[in-house]
Amino acid sequence: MTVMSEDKKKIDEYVLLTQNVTMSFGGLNALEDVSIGLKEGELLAVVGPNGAGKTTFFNVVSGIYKASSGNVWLKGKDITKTAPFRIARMGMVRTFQNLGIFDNLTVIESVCVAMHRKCLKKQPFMTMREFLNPWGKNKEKAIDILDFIGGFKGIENELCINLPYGFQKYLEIARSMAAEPEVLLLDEPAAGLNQGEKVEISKIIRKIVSSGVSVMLIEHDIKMVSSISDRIVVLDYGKQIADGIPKDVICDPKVVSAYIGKPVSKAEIKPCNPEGFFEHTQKTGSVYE
Amino acid sequence: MLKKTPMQFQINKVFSLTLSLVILALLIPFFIGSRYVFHVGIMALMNLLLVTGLFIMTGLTGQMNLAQAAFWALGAYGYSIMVKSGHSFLTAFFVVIALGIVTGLVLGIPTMKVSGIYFSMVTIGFGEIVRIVLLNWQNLTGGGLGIREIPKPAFFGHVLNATSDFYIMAIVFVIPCVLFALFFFKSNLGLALKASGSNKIVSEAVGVNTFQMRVIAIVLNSVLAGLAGVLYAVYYGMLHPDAFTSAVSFSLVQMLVVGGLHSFVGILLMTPVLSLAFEYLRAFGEYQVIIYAVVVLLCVIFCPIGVGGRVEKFVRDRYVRR
Repeated sequence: MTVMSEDKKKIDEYVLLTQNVTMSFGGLNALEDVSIGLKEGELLAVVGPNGAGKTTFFNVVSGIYKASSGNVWLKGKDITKTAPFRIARMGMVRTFQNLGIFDNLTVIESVCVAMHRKCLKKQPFMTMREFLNPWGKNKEKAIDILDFIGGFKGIENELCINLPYGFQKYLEIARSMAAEPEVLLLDEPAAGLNQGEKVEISKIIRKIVSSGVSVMLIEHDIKMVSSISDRIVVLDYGKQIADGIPKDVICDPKVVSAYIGKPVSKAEIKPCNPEGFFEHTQKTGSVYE
Repeated sequence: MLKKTPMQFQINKVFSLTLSLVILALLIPFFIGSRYVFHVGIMALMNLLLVTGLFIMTGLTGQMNLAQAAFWALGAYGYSIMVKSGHSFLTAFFVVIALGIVTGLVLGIPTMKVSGIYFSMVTIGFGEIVRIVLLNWQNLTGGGLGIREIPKPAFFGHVLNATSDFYIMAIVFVIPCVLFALFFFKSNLGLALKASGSNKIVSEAVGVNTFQMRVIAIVLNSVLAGLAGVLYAVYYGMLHPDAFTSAVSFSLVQMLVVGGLHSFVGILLMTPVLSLAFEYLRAFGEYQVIIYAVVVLLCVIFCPIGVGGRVEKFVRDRYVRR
């Protein structure tokens, strides 16, 4: 594909960029001309009411769905038609809204899977010495990653399916980090967690961003999103309706309207902060909670 | 350096215990010395090889293979045809391995987008194709009469004739394959294979090429079944298509399910036990199949994760969650 010089500049500016991405399922446009860019080291949140197309957007970006039109660029390379495992190997890893865990693998094995490729290149099989202590070197690295995420001490050899829900969510993030990503897509990491766990996961996400990973996050909790994100993009019915810093986006009448399902004026959104947004959407009947 | 957790110690203990039992069990026929016991031992080892392949393909990557007998037959016929046409044992042996690889690729590549029950249907179709070809390609396979008088191999000037010779040969075939499988399951490749069977979408999301893993699993299964075929041809000295029916494939799947779809320890334990049970139940005449089926059914109802899965769960419950 020929890329104009202006486009080329834009592609180079962002580590991940979608250009006019449309995803149609029969006659339904789940995404329509969505253009979102993620800068290096940035934490970008993608929000929107239920059915806005957020997860579809992640599925297109991560290669699970192939976009009907438009392009996806990762580190300057067109990945629109690239297979998911190749995208992961290029440095973009994702988590899933509906828990994506390996049921019959242990915590440590699960993390080691994400590291398998780098080790495979060096050594596809193991020596006799490593037989009784499989994935020796990987294991030490996996323990480091689990410590980085925190809370896994003593349960490294437990089957993933036996972990409490919150830990399974953390494990997804740990596994993704083991793949050493440059871009991490987090699909509702705080869904189903209690307030304490949400605070904890917010800290983990910030820690990941400070380690140099660019993060794109889908989340419903506006309070959480606005407290940790550098920028917010809002989708509604597959269309991009807002893009900006959290303070501006939550005061945008279009965004509030999308959440409560009816038009609202700027004067009605008071106070213009996450609490105000939350109160207003609760009072008027939010469509997302 | 990481310290071993109690769980690892226990798992290693379970493995060591299982291996010791297997070694002890392997020596039993020599103490008894009966031809029949050697025969049962050979059958059990052959089944172990076949179920190990099935474990890789069905247990790890979740592709239900209902045509293991066809893979087995290809190995047996491949070896017999080569040996009958004057080639040495070693040449025939390597041809069978190559044939296994080719079969795995031929079945694996076109079915890359087929999964679940549809893949099972493909394997049933494959099994039938193999059976019909064996039955009708008179010139090559001997048709319904099969291949007879397959020359016995000779090693260091000693021609294998006694049942104990074949038993030793079976051990020489099976032990390295089982050890290879144990190493493989604990390797990076084995782990990726296990992950691809556990959750395809998630494993792709962390960089596992699930298609490649599927093909690797089919090829490994095909090669292991081929080696079991060589054993069969060498031991019996004759072949006919009726020995490789779909009923055989189903009984191998039964062994896998009873042992544990996700537990190789269970396979090592239960495959020989079920093979022996099937042989000794012959004493009950026509009730043999019914009794065997009831035993398997009870295992599936009361132990759906398989005997091996139950053993591993016991160890985990007892030593990890305290």
